[in-house]
Amino acid sequence: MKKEVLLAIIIGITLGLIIMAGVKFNSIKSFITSDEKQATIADAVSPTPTSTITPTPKSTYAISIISPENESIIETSSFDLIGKTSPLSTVVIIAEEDEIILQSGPQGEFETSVDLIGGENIIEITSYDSQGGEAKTNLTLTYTTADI
Amino acid sequence: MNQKSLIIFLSALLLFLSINFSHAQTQEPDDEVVQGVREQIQKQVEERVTSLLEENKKRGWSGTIIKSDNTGFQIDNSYTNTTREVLVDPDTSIISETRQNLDIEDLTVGKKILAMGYLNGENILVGKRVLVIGEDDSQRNRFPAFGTLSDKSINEKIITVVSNKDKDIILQLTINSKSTVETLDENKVDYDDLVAGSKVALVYEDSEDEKIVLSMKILDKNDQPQATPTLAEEN
Repeated sequence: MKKEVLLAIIIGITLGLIIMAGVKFNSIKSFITSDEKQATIADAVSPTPTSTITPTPKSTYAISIISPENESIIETSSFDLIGKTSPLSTVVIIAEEDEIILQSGPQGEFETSVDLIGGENIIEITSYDSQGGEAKTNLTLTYTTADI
Repeated sequence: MNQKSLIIFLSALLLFLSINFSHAQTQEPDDEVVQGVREQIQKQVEERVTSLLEENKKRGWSGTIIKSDNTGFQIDNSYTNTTREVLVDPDTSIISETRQNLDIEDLTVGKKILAMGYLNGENILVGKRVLVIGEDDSQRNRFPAFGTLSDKSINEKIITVVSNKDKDIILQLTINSKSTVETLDENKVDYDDLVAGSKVALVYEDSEDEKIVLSMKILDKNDQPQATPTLAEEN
């Protein structure tokens, strides 16, 4: 009786260890594969420079319009233009019948009211910083009071 | 019989415990997979919500008709360099330049139109109102500039502005009755008060024979004594 119980325990442990070792091996294998995949994705997103020289980051002087969205339909004869560029930049806005020059705030934000003409309006927005940086964007808006 | 049952029971128990233990060891990679799937689902939901929001927005597109049939037309916009599709139905208002109602058949290739309506899920404009607009050949002739006022004429109201970005860009600009010259806080500045060395931002009109300042802002006045003004040299 004792012998048989002992034998059963030994068989059970051995069998359990074999299964555990198998599962563990598989999990390590899949973990390594997923690490390799992640490394491949990371390489694709930011390829390691082949040169040992660290590349100088390019200037990222930019301007973006927060509101309104490009190609929107506006139902009033003027609208609030809200945008963002570098802090304390000079922003020049050329609308269909108007020119506006203003300075962005300490966070780069700017806001002004722009008049529209009936139909299509192309608004050119240019931002300048004191270091000679220049960024440009256009906004096309349609002003109509007709029901759409 | 009892001995056999006990042996089977103990073997099964140990086997179960071993599998459980090994499964617990593999939890970490599983969590990463779940997290990845969760992020992917979240991204897809965000994209769909954005697309749905976009669908119900009013949009206005302009361009020249390059293809037309009884369900709609394609327009080409040379300004934005895009070719896009507009759908029309019997309820779409089509208005001529002279405010006459038109039919879809009147929207022939070559006509310049302004289409207003709603975007559908396939980035096609469902036109509700289409205006035929005249061919606008006039190029916009107003331009922005940013630089330093380097010189001003004493004989005529002509200033010289050197670009901050490229010192080789030198503009000779006329100031006349159309021109508005102000400080940033909107105080009017007379021609006589303009000082060489001031940083300026401006919009000028480029006509055939001269460039005229439409609006100019003095950004920081240079109060240093100025050199004797000379007639600005031709570029």
